[in-house]
Amino acid sequence: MTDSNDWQALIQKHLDGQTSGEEAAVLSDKIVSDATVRSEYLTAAQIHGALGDETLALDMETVPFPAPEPSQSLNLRPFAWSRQLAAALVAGALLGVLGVGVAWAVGSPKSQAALIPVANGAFEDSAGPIDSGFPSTFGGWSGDPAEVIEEADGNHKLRFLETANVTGKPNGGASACNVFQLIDLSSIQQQWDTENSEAQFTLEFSARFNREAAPNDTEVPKLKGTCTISLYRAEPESIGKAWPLVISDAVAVGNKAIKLKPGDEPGTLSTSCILAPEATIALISVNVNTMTGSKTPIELGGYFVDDVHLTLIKQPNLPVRFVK
Amino acid sequence: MPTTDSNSDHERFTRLLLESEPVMLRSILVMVPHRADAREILQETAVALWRQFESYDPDRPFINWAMGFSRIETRRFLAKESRRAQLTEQAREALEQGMERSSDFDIALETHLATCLGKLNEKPRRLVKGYYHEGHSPEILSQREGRTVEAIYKTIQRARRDLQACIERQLAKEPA
Repeated sequence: MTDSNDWQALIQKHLDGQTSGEEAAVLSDKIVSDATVRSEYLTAAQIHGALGDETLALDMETVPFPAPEPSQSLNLRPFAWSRQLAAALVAGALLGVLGVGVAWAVGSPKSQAALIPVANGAFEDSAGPIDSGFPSTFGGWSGDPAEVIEEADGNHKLRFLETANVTGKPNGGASACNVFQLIDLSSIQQQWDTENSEAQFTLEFSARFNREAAPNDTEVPKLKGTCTISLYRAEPESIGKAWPLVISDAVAVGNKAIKLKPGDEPGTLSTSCILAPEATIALISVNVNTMTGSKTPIELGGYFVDDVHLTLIKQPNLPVRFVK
Repeated sequence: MPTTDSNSDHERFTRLLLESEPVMLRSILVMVPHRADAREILQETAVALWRQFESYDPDRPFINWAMGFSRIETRRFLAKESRRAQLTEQAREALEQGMERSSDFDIALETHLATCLGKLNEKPRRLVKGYYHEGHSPEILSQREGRTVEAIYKTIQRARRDLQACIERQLAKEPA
């Protein structure tokens, strides 16, 4: 992580209990060593704490909110317990109130999952065009023409602009718009000791696609969104140089596709592959394909992607290996 | 626990506790951001405070006395906590030292948070209300809003950042 936005994003994740043990450790080190990040954490945590103050609830009453569904709602009002506590103290029933237990769901100890960091996976840390060309280093998106846009509610997502040939070859195929990111697997393989473990490790890659109406929708009726993960034993810069022939050298591949019509409900694609112990790099890509075989760029409609995640799943070795 | 067992003791304790709990909860949330966990610590703190209330010197500020208990209960909780990723002890110590130095932002937060909440767009405001004030989980909010859980988290996190920026702008407008 290199800039303030990255740390701020990690701080915000931690405040919502979304950080992994590894991320919390990285954040801890930074809090100790960097006064600026320490100060940013304190400020963010103060806001998080102050928002739970019920005295502010009065100022929020005008916000319309759908009627609660009692069967699904926990409806735990912060501080409600203290009013009960006050009443109980007066009634002399303190222990009765405080004796109420709280239960948490605990997952099976035989299966574990950990989020693998994807740089700007939610597209919140940037705006505007992404870098062009095939990535040669870790830590960012690049590829064919695409841009990060901001929606009316402030959410950022990636918009596919037009098809291209990512290698820049004049007569190469340009029927799809591909956006890539390289993920370093070396430290993950070490941390989980995948080579010596008897467990099975799977990488699950997911992304959320949506399509809005666009002026050229009739020209590209068969647009298909795809997410692909492929694993390589290679140096990061070598994959782009040998693209696309290098695809056949992948040690594991998973992909999934979706066809959306303009205005359809968003769809989340999820694909998996076995994490082979020899893999050093994961190449993740999201793309939109016109299914035309075109060799010239085609302007795309309103195809978007958001919420890209990569998850490592460790589970007991099964007698039969499978991928979704 | 106090032996006098009088209603006046109960009432005095309750009043002091209710006055102090927002400050205590905010400081606990810095170390333990999960709100259910923080409230659990606050409950344990309240029990400990009640048990030791006889030793409280009314000439001293109650909040200072109570904060010592909340720090102990927070450490005790974190020592046994394993459900969620936590900051290291070193980081927590660094943050505790930082918290002791009150800043202009603390005061600005008290003064301007409600105003800045009012400046949020409708969707993020509705989610902040649902998440913080009605205690709904992001999963419930995602069903209601027809958005992914991740999108709910993102909106709430962005709302907090927007609030911070707004409060800092308000602070900058104030005369030095």
